[in-house]
Amino acid sequence: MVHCDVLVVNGNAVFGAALCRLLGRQGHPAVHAAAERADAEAARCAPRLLLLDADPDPVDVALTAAVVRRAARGIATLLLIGDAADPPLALEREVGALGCVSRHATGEVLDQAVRRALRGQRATPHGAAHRHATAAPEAGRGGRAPLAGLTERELLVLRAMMGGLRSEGIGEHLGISRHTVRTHVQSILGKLSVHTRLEAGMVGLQAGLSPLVRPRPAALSGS
Amino acid sequence: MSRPARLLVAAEYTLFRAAIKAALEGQGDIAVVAEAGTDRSAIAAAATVAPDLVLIDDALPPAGGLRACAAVKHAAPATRVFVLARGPDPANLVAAIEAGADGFADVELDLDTLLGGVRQVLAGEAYVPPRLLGPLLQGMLQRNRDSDRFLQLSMRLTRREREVLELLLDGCDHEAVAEILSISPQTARTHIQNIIAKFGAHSRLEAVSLAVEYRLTDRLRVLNAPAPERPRRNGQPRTVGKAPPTP
Repeated sequence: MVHCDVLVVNGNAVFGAALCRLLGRQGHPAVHAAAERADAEAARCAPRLLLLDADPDPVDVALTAAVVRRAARGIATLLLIGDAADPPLALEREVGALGCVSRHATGEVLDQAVRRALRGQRATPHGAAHRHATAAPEAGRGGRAPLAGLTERELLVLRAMMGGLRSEGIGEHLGISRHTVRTHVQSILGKLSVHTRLEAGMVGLQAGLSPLVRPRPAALSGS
Repeated sequence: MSRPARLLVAAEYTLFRAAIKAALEGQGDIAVVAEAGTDRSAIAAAATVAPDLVLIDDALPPAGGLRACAAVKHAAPATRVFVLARGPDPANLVAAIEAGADGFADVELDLDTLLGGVRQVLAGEAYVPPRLLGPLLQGMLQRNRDSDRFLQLSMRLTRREREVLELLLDGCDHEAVAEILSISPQTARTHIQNIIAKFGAHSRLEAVSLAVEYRLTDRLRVLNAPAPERPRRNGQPRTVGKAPPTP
């Protein structure tokens, strides 16, 4: 059995593996696994802490946390999230997490959160984590208005709109419901101060945003 | 290599940048000398720091990493650029190559393989994961076919429709188009509907996106320019498209 302190579960294999190197340098031996292999890896390595990416579907995240807890009894959990100002409290409770760490946090913040979690303590309260996130030099989406106010998800939806996709296509592409897409679209229109998807798309095009899916010309008829 | 290669890491997440830095530390041949979290700051940092290689996350906010990639290559063609994408999407790969990327990988790749690819690009080679090479070639061929197809579609536009499209690409709505071209708003709307139909698009936004995607803007300016005078065979000047003057 290979011993490790931390099991990193992240769909982004490069990020996951690099986090393991970072944690290793901080004195926390760590291994990375994709969600599908998380329980096998937990059984193999007996980690004391699960660092779980909360980006994909919350249902998948909760399921992964549950199977890992069964494979490695007593394991603590920290969630890796996008926006420290908007922590998924319901998800935290459901998976029994000791707290969240933002992807905008520094390595030092991660180190502190991991040390606290290994002692069974909650991660730094969210307010402080948020201060860390906003204090970091390139935190969040600084940069050109009017796109600066859009969340990460909204930017993805806008880029999908720019390729000419409709709500259903956008939903399929991003793995969210049509209803959720419409909610995002309404928010985007409001933040960009425009009335139509066309205008929003034009704002995106003129800001040099690249479409999520490249538009392709229709097949020629006749000829 | 006598000194470590100098890397600029351009990715949205602070923690990701810290993790990549940690992965490279202690290896001796690559040093992270600067970081950036937005496309604008990445372009600025590349100009200030003059790194040997820029590692760019293609989801770099707000406009995407490929914009930064093209800008960095334009300003300093000798700088190597390696694009890291969220998924092995061939269309994205083609776009990255078109933006000037010297290397491309998706985040499903093993970290050490990725770092090996970065070293290859630093050594002056290109890098694409072998399993993406087939899709890349297919993607580039498809891109050529799509570009030709779109050119054929756009040749169906009348001169007036091309003028209207040029205005749409400048952000005009149908009322502005009507005013600029001195036509009624209803006529302007009809032209717009015809453009959408000829492109096989389902919306004005899709029609405009297609025109931007296949760089019709530059061609439109050439096509919409006033027709030049051409000499007649017997030496008299003649304006193209008009009947010759009666003698």
